[in-house]
Amino acid sequence: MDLKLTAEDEAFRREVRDFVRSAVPADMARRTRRGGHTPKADLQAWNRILYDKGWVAPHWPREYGGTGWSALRIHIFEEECAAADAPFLSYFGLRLIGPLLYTFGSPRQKELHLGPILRGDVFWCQGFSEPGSGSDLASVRTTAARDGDDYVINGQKIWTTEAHYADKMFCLARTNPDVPPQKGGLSILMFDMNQPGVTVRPIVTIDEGHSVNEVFLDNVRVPAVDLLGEAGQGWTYAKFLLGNERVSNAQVPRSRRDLQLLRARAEAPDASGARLVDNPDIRQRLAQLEIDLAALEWSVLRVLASPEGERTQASASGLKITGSEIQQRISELAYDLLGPLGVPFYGEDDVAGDLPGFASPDVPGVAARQLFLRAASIYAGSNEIQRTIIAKQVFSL
Amino acid sequence: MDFSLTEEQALLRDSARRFVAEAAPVEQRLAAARQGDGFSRDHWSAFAELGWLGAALPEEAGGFGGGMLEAAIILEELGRGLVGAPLLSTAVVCAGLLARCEGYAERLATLELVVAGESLLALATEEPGSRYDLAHVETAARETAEGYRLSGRKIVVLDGASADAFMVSARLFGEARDRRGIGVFMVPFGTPGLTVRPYRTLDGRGAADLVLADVEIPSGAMVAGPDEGWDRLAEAADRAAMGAAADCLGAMEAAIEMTADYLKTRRQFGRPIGEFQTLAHRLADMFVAAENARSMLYRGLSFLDAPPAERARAVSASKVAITQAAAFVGQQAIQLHGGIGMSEEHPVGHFYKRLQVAGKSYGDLTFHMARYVDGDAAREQGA
Repeated sequence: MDLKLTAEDEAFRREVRDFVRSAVPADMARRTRRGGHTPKADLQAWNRILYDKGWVAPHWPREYGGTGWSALRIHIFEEECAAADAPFLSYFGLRLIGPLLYTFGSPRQKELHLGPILRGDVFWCQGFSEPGSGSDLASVRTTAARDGDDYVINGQKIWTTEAHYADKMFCLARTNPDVPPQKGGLSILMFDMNQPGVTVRPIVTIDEGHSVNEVFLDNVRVPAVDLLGEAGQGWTYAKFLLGNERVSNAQVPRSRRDLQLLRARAEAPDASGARLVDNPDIRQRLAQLEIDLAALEWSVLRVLASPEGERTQASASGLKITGSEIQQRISELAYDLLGPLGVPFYGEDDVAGDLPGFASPDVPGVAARQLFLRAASIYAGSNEIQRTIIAKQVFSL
Repeated sequence: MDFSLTEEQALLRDSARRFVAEAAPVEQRLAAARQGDGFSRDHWSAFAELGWLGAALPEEAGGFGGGMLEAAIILEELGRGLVGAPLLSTAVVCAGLLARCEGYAERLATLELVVAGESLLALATEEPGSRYDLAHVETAARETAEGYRLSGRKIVVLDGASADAFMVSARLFGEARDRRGIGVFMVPFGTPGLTVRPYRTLDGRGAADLVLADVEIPSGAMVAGPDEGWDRLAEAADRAAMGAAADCLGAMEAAIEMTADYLKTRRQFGRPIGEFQTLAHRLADMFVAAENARSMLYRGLSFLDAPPAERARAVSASKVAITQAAAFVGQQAIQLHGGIGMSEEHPVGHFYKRLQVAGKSYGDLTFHMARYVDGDAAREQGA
């Protein structure tokens, strides 16, 4: 064990910082700081900037376009991106279907899809959850029936993040209704969103923002070659994904940045010279969050540093629980600090100078963010489900 | 001590509950909240007819002889049904303040209009940076030959988007945080120099900021003078805090009922999710939290007529406890609904937003915790 950063790691951090700080356009950084749902144009533009630099998918194997950095360096990179208020890249291509493809996909599928994901030319969405199938993923009802060289998909997906941005969906569906989902009844199919039979309907969330959707699939025809990997492996692939998703759902770099901004706000004197951080209760809550985040960060590093085969689903589940709760607590403290300025509703278009409560430009977005983050303990496997996984895996309960 | 409602109080609760249940389904009220005043003018007329707008006023002030208990009974039902009407601002906070300002010549005439449903009032005390401190008043009141000239800014005036007149705190003398020197002035909507900047709140009600630029008002418009202004405002804010707490209780209990129904009907893994003990226990914890909150509601209400320092301490204790309970109940109501709880179309998130706004009305958690601690420190020094 060696628990210190090396001089090379520190030099690496400086190199990343120098690049990222100058590469993020100021208006993009402002939108990211504000914390709303990132516009597609920002996701594309930042994706392109990192692609051109060769840094868009550090976590991918080098042969597919990764950087070959250590887990620690990837973490440093992500921390620096967050600290520079770079947008958080679209998840579904780079984090989910990309790794699925290079791990399980056919040579043709890799050839076809990995390049466009890296370049940010093609955006993806994940068709997993259904109205009757949330925590209980094995209960998906969407069917993909074989018809000659095609599958024909029918069903409904819900809570589909960025479906309105996406060019393609990877969709969990029952390809064999006679076999239980966990035993070969499920497959993942990839198809264009822009085709007959695919209907996307927005769901407005309690923050009054739009990031999730319902997607209706009505006789959607998919060539059989677009079935990911092998037929009947959908359950295995889904579990692989959820493990990946839960590690990145720890969201340490983002929480670190949010907490930095929060502390800065608490330390700034108001017109009469008073500082929120002088309130002992607030000072203590800030300190507690910093301590809890430090613990989470080291837990993430420990998991990332362990060989992939030794990582357990339980450790990923633990990170997801703690990470989502810390995100929520940071956003709640930020909202608490607003005092009465937490009462007005601030629209997406509200601009400085004209804001309710004569608020400063960093106020809008705070209330909406803490509302939207209620979802963090629900999505990607609710925290109750994560606890069940830990109890089962670690203790055989 | 008697925790049972009197016959009149029980009737009032039943009629309020019935009215709210029949008036409009939650979905319709939510749609109404997105536009205009954030409430229904028809509801307001009905409130006047039902006698609710005078329910918390003594008879000598044109009311029906009730007090804060009656107000709390109604407010709880409005919270339960997510009704956006400005009853707390107009009929409880402002009317209650007016009723105690016996030197104000227009007192009975104004209260008569309020009770009849013909005048909406809003309390304008908050200023940029004041953070609920009623003594933090930078808005200036200068005496003129005919009356007063007001200049300054007020923010987050609850229900200010539809108010016919504002009760504005303004400083006649002293420094920004002195308790003495603050007067309360009646400023009708439309007075030259008064700009009302309306907006909606996180929970879909109407609020406003005020800009007062040399607003001229007659000498009779002073509701409370500089020797009593702060005391009257402090009483009013404490009653208001308990009113907001009552609203919270209704919203909390409705959210719990809604969540219980969901746990019984939503099925995953082949059974209703309420059969999973972790979820059933969470619901039980929500129930316990709401029960404790109700106890603190009654406790706080019982102190409203106590000497100011005791009153303040007890109200702050209630507000802290109820705001904490509301956060837990509201968050877990969403959590137990899963994805659907995140949808704007589903009512459960609106209960959470209602609870959050109530939590930030008339002092938030930080304010009341600090006030409680300060009260404690003062007691120790006195002892």
